[in-house]
Amino acid sequence: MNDAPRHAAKDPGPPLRADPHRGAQRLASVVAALAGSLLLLFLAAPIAELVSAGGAEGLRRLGSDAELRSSLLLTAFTATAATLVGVVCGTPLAFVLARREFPGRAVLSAVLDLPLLVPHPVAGIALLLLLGRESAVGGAALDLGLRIVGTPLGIIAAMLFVSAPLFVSGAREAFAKVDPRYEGVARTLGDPPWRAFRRVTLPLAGRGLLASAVVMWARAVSEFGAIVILTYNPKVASVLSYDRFTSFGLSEALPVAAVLALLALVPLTLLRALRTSRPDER
Amino acid sequence: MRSRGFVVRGALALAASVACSAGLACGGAATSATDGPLVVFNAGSLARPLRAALDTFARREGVAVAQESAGSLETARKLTELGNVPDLIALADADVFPRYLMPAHVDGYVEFARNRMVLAFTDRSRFANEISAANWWRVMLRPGVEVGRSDPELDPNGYRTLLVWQLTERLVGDRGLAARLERASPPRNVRPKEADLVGLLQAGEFDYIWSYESMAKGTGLRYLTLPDEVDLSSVDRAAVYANASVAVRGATNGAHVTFTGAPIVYAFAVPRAAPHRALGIRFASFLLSTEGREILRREGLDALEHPRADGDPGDWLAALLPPDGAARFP
Amino acid sequence: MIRLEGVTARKGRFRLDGVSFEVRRGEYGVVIGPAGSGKTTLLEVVAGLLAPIGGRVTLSGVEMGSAPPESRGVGLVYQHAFLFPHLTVRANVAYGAADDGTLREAADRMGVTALFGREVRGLSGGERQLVALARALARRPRLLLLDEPFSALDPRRRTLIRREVRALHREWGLTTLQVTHDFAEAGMLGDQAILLDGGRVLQAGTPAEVFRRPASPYVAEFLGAENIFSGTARDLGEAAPDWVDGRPADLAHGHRAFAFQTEGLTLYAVGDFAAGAGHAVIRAEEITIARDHAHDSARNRFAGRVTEVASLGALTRVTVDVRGTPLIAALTTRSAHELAIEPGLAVVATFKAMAVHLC
Repeated sequence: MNDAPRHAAKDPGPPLRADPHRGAQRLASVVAALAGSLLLLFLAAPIAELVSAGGAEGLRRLGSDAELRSSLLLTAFTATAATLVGVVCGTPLAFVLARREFPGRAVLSAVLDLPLLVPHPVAGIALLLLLGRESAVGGAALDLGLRIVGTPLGIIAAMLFVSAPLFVSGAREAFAKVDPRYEGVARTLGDPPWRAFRRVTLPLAGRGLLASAVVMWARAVSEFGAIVILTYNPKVASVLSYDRFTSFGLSEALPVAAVLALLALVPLTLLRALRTSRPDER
Repeated sequence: MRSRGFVVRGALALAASVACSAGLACGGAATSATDGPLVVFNAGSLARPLRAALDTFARREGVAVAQESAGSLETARKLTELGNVPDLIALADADVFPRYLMPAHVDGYVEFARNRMVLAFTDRSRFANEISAANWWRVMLRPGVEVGRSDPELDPNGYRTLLVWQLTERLVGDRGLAARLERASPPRNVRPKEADLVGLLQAGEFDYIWSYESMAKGTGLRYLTLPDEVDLSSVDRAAVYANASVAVRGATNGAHVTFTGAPIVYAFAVPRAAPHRALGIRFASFLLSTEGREILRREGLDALEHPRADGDPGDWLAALLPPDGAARFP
Repeated sequence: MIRLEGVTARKGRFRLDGVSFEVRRGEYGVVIGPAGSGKTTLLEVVAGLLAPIGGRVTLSGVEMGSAPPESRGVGLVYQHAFLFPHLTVRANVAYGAADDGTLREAADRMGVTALFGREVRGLSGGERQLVALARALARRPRLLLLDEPFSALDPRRRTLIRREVRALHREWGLTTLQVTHDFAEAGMLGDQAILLDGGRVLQAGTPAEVFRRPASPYVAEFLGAENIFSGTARDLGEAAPDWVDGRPADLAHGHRAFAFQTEGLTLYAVGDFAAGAGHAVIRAEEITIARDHAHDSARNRFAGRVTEVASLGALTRVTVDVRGTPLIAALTTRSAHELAIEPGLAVVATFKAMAVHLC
């Protein structure tokens, strides 16, 4: 819009020189790479040890060890069930937390984080008080013929308690990242709130929701302390490996843990691969 | 430029892993022989009594103490599998020593306390006011009565429960009673060790739990004392007890170990490779002293008047004579 | 039509305070205001996305109350388009489309049909805005709400699309409310201009009214009037100068003659004004420059010296110093060349009394 600048005898400015900060930047990159490598090593090495020590044996036992097989199946079933419940119930909760400001929202969020803090056996006891046969809920369930303590239902309850907060907090972030104006536009295009949520918010938050669900599932699989209080038999993989260790020692415990890690790799990798298959949106 | 950055990172990662391995190799340097802390591994049912004894000992000697409680077998595993050696190991079943820990880790052990199997319950338990030594097995079998027990594969309390059932079947003359009792306390009522059962009893999930007298006393629970013939309490009834036996998983998967009924005797030992052996021996002596045994009894543990040694626990024991001179050694 | 009465709303740090205006059915309303004035908030209140704290919103004769956006028949186009990133262009435009025919027409008129198979991610800013327009139009709303819809378009496209939008507005009988900070655009498009600043309506009326007769010097300045002077207006009344024919009372429709005294200059104005202290506003394009005294009807004639000449394409701005007071005139560049206007030249600046607006 303005007149084109005239290029007459103007000072060209200081000559281009190497960036004086480059040394500091190189140092920062080196330190960052070192820190990252150390953490990666720290996390991966014990698992690698575990798998190399017991992986082959564990895989072989899948064929012969019925108790191992049923334990792994039980673990997969209960963790998946707990995650499904967590996702179905946690998604609307996370959405409300992300979108609506109400008095006490911060307190409610903190309360939802508490199950993560509570020592696991204590969590188990707390759940017992809620779901045991002497409680209102547990007693009513028993009357209906539904036993919680000592059954897979108890396992699911323990898993849900310790892992759902992870999903809710992750899902909440995922929703918060979706600009409410997308929903607004969908509304003006004729969608009632529920449909706008389904067609716009959910797909846009989808990757974050999936990642949070994966974290929840993994956490559920690894739980021990709370589960043992509610349901020791039938044994999930974490309880079985403890049991085997105590009865027989490391040589028996390692294959269980190793095969659990190996088998869990499959769904985890698949889910994480799903995450990055689509290009990132604006 | 890009490949150079990659090489730098790779080299750093390699250096880091070398540093880590070196660090791991150097780590775990031995601590000094006498300064402590005194490390004690014990069975769950010994937790409270030993805690009390340790506190007094620590104050008196001015040393720090560290105590780890777990199931007896799990505790033994810490030595045999993890190479974790305490200064004193105390178990709820003297039998574990010869079966798992001798001669590799321990030369001998000392039997120092006794216990008995009891049925613990609360005021809220169903039929609490009706139950007695004469009818407890009938009450157990009633529908709606939940009975908790610990895992025979992991905890002596667990297989001792099975032995009590067998002995009761013998005493009462009711064929198949033991099997019916086992069915009435199904796998979902099993927990890893007896300490796990107390919480569930107090929460009302169980009406009765199979426990030790010391545990019931220690946690303030009501309990039913059973006849001598079945509760594994009396040294004099050893022959009767020997009529019952259970097969439990052995040291390796597939192997089995048979435990025959025997009086419940608590034993301790100072492992050969104890990091602070002298300190361990001092504490062991304290446990055997009059004062030590008084503390144990106060916590509900039936400390033996006449501790008994087996194997070769060490010269120190031979030289030890409690003030009242009542120790008797083979 | 759109009617707001005393609407008050809050959204974060944006607010509306007692906003009232009306855009009749089939009209094209333009909301002009600086950044942060609450323009977008206003659109969101009309759309039903933001509930007002006070006041009434009436659309097509029906009071909206808490009616949800999906039932208001409004189309909303944000400045940043907000295209759904997980859908293709076609899916975006078709999202709320009334039917296939409307979808096709909206896409064709906005020129986005060629983009249909593309992902949103790869579109330029201008392309996004066009798609967003097509998407809103495809639903055939009764009310169209546009938030700076042409800002990302290059000038040529901007003109074309403006024309298309105006055409659709006419053909479909839309009522449109557009937000802009470009008052020239407002003049081109709008039937109604609403000036918004700090959440309040400063003035509402036809663009001509608002431009020619700004309600305050602030408005005038905001609208880009270059000549604003403060001073005192004197009603010439009985002492009307010779150029007033007839008695003062006979002057057309309350229009009176005024002499406005500002430092060094006396301006003559005719209009429905009030006497007293105030401001005089003259738009640059109302001032003509001559090399020498000409005989024309203008009552305001001033000799001065050119101090600055600035050419912007077809328009040239000439600043003339009249006894210390600068007057800015806008000429076509061609005229400026023909007259050989350059700094230092002695010229005469003239403008009609009707071009002087007092406020």
